[in-house]
Amino acid sequence: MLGYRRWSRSDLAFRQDSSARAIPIIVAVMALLACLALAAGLSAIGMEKRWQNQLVGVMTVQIPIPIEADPEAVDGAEAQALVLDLLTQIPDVTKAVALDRSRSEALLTPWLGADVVVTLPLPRLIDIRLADSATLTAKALQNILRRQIADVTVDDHRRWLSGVTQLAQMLAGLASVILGLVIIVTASVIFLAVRTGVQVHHRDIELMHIIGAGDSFIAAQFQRHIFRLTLIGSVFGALAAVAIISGLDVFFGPDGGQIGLSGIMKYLRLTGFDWLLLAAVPVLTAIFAVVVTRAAVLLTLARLP
Amino acid sequence: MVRFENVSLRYGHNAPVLRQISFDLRPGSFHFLTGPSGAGKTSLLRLIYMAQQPSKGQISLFDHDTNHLSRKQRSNFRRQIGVVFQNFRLIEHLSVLDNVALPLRIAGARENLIRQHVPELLDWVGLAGQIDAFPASLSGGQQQRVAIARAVIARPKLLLADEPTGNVDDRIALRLLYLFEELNKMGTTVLIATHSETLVAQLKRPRLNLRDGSLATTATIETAGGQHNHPPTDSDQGPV
Repeated sequence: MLGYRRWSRSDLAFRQDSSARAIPIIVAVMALLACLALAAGLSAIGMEKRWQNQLVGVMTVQIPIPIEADPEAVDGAEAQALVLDLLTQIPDVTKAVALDRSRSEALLTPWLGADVVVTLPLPRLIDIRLADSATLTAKALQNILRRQIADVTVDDHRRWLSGVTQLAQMLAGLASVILGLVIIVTASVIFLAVRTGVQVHHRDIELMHIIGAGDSFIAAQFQRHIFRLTLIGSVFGALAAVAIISGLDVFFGPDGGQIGLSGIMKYLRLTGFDWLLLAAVPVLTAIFAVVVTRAAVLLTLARLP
Repeated sequence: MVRFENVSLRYGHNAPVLRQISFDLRPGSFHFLTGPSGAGKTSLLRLIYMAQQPSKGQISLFDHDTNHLSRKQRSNFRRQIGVVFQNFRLIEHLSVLDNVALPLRIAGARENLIRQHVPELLDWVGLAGQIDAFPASLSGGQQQRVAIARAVIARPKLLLADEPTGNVDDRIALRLLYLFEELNKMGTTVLIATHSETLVAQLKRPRLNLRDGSLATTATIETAGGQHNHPPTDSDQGPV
């Protein structure tokens, strides 16, 4: 109790000082922006990572059927069996599953209609999964298979990810820029407020110097004051951010999805660790403010005689 | 303890406030700094507690040249100096207790010691009932006593007082002088700036007499520990 009283007391009249009065509001807004930017960046990175995990090591082998050939006569079953046999001999391939024609027809029917699909020379498909440690590329696998079956092609599903990756990186980059701006603005506001505060209290500070107070003693008074103000502001800002993120989740999430974005929004979700990072924003903001305050006080006092 | 060597002080391009001041205060000595208003007494004290740098000359404090002290060293030295300001300079938003406790808090004293020693001293200077009062509610004399209590609470090695009894009645003035004497007996070097000849006559201590910014030769009585009188010597009074 005595320790808290000593920690919270101040020898400078901060209550009568209006120089730092706006800090909680400004910091609340900055913490809100920081949390939203952080949440956007983290969920974008998380989405990209989850999609990467789902698609990495997954490839599809296509065995084309010549158009002029009779699809019933040469359905590629023999070629498919040959490729499957080859795939089982490649150490990096852990799983190879042949998709029969009915699966391919089922995939295309919604787009082309059943009548058309049955007449098409659909390629034979084999889904394969590579080992986690596999170094085999789609191109290399294609070259191996083409030694036996000409025109066979291998698609790496990761190439579908490039757009998503770009989007995620752009979002993360944008979030970083916003975070950087928030940090610069917060530091500037605190620096200026503290410098003004030193000028407002210069008579008491001069007296304390004469009595023997070092610059650190003076800085500590400002640090405690600014820590309290920024902690209060950033807690409110972070709580507002959590409310907004939760609101978005309800509105766009898998259970909401009122405007049809539920498909992508289900991937833009935060993990437990992400929430921990968001919860740390107020504390980190307050600690950052303390560091800026100390620097501002020491730099300002160093100019005094 | 304090040595001035040909120290001059001027503010901007104005005429010098202090001219070629030289003296040496030995540890444990007790001096008055006298002179009429405007003679430069407050400026000289400001030089000693390093609120001001001399325009010329050298000031040594605790055997260190004050011109070459780092900010940290200056703070450490100032902690060993108690200052009673002419205008008290109490911190208005702090209670009497917190004003007096300030030097102890700056020195890092434990709060339980502060709560023990500060009320004792306030009781001694007759302010036991004002411990939680704020300076604005005190009379001039009470504020002066708070300022004195703040100056002596940390048992400084050097006590500088600028007209310390100017706002108190004779009874309190005498009591405060006894306080200074007690501190002096415990080893504190005391320098009291005053224009009160009555005060100087009461204690019969050597004086540094300022006139128009220069130190005039003085011939006063030196008392060792305030008990007996002996002729002044060059080492403890007057220009060196």
